[in-house]
Amino acid sequence: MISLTVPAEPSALAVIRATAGSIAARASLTLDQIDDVRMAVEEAGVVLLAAGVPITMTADPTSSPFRIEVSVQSADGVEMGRDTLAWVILQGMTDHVDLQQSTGQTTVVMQFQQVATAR
Amino acid sequence: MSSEATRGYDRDDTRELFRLLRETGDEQYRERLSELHLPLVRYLAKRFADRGEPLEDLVQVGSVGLMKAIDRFDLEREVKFSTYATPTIVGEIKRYFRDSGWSVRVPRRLQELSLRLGKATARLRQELGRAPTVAELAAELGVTEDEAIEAYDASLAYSTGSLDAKVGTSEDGATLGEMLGDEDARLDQMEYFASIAPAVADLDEREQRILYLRFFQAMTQSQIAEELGISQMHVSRQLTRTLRFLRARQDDPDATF
Repeated sequence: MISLTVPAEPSALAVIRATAGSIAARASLTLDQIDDVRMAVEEAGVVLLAAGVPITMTADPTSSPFRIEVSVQSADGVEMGRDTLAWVILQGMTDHVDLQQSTGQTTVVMQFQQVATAR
Repeated sequence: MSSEATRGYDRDDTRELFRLLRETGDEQYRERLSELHLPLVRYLAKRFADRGEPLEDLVQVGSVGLMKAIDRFDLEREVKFSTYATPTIVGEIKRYFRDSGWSVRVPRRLQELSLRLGKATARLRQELGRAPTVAELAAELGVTEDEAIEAYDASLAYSTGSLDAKVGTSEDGATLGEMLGDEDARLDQMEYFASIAPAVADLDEREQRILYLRFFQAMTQSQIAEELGISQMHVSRQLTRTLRFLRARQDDPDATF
C-alpha cells in the first residue's frame, strides 16, 4: 500500500497525478488505463481541493482490480453531485467509482480492471 | 570517466585514435575518443548552464554534437580536433534550446527512447488488439519498466503545438452522426455535457468528438485514436488539455486554452 498526502494547493495535484501514474504503471494496467488513472485522480483531487485541507491518495499496486483512493479529512464533507462534470469524467475514466462520505472524511474510490496479459 | 582516461590526453593520442578508428571502424576507438573529449563538452555546456536546463542534459546534447564531429573529422586537416569539434558541439546545444518540437525540454536519450516506444506501442497494439501494459512494452524494448514509463511520459510532452494542427481530414465525408449512427442520442448527450460544462460549446469539432467518444461511447483512447486516425498519445494529450480547459472555465468563465 502506498500513501501520499499533499497540501490543498492546485500545484500539489501534479504530484499526486504523477505518483498515481507511476503506481498504475506497476499495476499491470495498459497505457490507456494509466492515463485514465492520472486524469481521474487529478479530477478527484480538484473536487476535494474545495475542502481546503490536505489531500491523501492511497493505492495498492497489487490490488486487482486496481484500487486507488483520494480523500480528505473534513468535518464539512465535500459536495459532488451526480450531474457535475467531475462525476461524468470520473465515471468515464474508471471502471467503478464511488463517493464515500463518513464522519469527517470524504473519499473518492476508483477502480480499474486489469486486462488479461500473456506475459 | 576515470581519471585514467584523461591522463596523457594530448593531440597525438587523439590523432592516433582517429587513425585507428578510420582503419578498423572499431567502436572502442570512437568511445575512447568521446571519453577523451567529454571534458570539452562539459566545458562548453557550462557556458549555457544559466539558461534553466540541467547541466547533465546539456552535456548529453553536446555529446551528440561530439559524436557527429568525431564521425566527420578529417585527419588530413591541419586543425586540432577540439577546434574542429567546438562549433559542432555548441551548435547542437543551441539547437536543443530552439528545438520547438518538445513543449517541455526532454533529454535526448529519452526522446530517442520515446520514439522507439511509439513504434513498439503501435506494433503491440496490432498484435494484442489493445494498448500494451508497461511490462509488455518494457519487455519489447528491452528496458526496465521505469524506463518505459519515463519514455512514455516524455512522449506526452512532445509537441503540444501540433495539437492545434488538424491531423488527417476530419471533414472527409462522414459526419460524426453518420459514423456513430444515432444522431439524436448524440445531440442529447452533448447537450447534457454542455449543460454541466458550457465551455464544451467552445471546443472545436474534433475536441468535442474525442470527449463524446470517451465519455458517451466509452471508447478507450486507443479505439478513439483508431477511429480518428491519430495516435493514442495525441488523444491522451488532447483529452488532458480539454479537461483542464473545461475545469478552468468552470472556475473562470474567461479562461482560454
